[in-house]
Amino acid sequence: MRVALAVHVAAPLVQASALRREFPQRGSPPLVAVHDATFHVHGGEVLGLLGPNGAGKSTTMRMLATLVAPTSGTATICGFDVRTQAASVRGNLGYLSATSGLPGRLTCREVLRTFARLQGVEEPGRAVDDALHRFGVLPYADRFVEGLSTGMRQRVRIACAAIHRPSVLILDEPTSGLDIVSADNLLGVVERLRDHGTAVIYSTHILSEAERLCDRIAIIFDGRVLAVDRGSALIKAARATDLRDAFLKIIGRQ
Amino acid sequence: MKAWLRALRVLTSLELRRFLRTPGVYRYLLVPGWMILPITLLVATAVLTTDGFSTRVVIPRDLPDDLPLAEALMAQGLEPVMVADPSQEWQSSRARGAFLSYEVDDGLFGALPPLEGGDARYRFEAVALDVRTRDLMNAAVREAGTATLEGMLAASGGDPARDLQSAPVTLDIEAEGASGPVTVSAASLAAYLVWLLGLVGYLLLVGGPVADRNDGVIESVLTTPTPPTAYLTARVLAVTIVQGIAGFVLYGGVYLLLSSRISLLPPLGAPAAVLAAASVLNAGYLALGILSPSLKTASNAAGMLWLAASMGMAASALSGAPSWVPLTGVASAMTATHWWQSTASSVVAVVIVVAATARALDRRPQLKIGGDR
Repeated sequence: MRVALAVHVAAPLVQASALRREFPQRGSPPLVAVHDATFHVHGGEVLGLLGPNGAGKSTTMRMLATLVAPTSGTATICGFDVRTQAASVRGNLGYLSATSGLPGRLTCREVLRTFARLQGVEEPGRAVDDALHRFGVLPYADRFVEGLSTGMRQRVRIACAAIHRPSVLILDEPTSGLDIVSADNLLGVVERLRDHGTAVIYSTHILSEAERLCDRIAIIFDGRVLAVDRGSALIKAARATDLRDAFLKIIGRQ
Repeated sequence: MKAWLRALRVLTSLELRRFLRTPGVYRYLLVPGWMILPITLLVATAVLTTDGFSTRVVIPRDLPDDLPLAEALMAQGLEPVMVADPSQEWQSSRARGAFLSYEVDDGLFGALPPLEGGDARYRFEAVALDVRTRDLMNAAVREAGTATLEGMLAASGGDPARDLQSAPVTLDIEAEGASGPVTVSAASLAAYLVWLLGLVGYLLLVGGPVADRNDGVIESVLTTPTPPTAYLTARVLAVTIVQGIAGFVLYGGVYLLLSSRISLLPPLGAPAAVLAAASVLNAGYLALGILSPSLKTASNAAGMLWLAASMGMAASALSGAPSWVPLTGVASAMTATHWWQSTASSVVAVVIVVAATARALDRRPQLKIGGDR
């Protein structure tokens, strides 16, 4: 008996190829923030970006979010080019950084409704109710965002970023400044999004978060992607004892 | 375009809500009131000072008795005073209005009945201190003339109710050249309002974009499919709407206070020109708020912009510069066409500033929107 086994490999939702960003410097050569970064992320996968401050993680993510234009290289989100199809990219993307803010003097419900409408969601009211429920913000729906705790505000931020149920979510140090409980809640939210098929790019300095959340980890140092693999594979390849050890060995600090 | 308009609508509504919930905004909106109040009081005081003799209207003493002008003036609430030389009384500022001289034409009334047209019997040369007095004097003259005609028709066997209606007689006795000591140029007033609204725009708009940039709000909005031009236009539009409401209330208050004394009805197109000129300043403030490295730099630059615009408007008013010059053209616009020219040029200027700022937003890393690398 012959059995035909068909394996369907979906195209990655995020594809970066030789992505490079230079910042001009007055009176000196341009600063290369990102050197030819190449990686991909599939739906239902979390790619972690690990690297020290100034390594180029945020610039890489901001290029994918169309906030910064690449100097060279290409990147696509859901097949849309970040250079030439920025609006389509943004429609398929949720972006949250440690510096992302929310308009003040609005309630959570109003903020979510605004972002739903900006994203062109067809039924903003329903999307808002759904987001309030999904992200655990319902009890605070009619409170002003500036009156919320840091953790709850971060939940509202992520709810805004994901209100249109994007295929790709880019989270740049989203647990920065959060207490353990709030951070844990937020990680739970990200896990649920991943389980629903969202491709997530997640940067963090907290290795335990990366170990818990990330299917693969890209180690970035001095603007270069030094390694991209599963956490266990990185540890094995670096002949390290744990992820911290592997990270330090890969960036050459051990 | 549809997405652009949707984003504009959503963001304008967002900004308006934020404005309305900011207590400081109301304080800023009172600024024009506080600044225009002394001038209003000054003008009102000047007008009310002349009101001490405001009901006095002098008429020539030798006016024939068959025209009951004095009674008609009293019926209009004016105080008729018969003098030998109305011109002298008028020049000595002891009257609110004056019938300086008159001519009598016997031809018309001599032809009655039937009334077949012709000039009025009495033709006055009259002056008044203000529009309201002029209107009252005209009404009194009409009333007196009608009473005279009715009397004459009745005396000649006619029916005043019927014949007066069909009579093509007009009592065209206008107090032409009514003028007074208080005159306000529409263009000067427009320039003054732009100056005031520009100050409100400065207070409302300089800090907001800097704070939004530093707080990552702009970054959050721009990672949605919102075009940067829609975001910028919404911010300019929201402030302009608030200024429009504030300006309307302010102007309405001044109008209620002084309209009976001064002609304050704005010429066609003037409100649009004023708001368009103010929105040029708003766009400039927004650009500075977005592009400046700090709040201090933005505030200083915006203050300079406001001062430069003020001086430009003053120069424009004095030199009679073309009205198609954006922003400052409002100070020299005098006709309906000029007002619309000024509006159009200011709108074009706003579009250019917004487009240039949006272009600068595309080079965000230099603007340090959001975090570092």
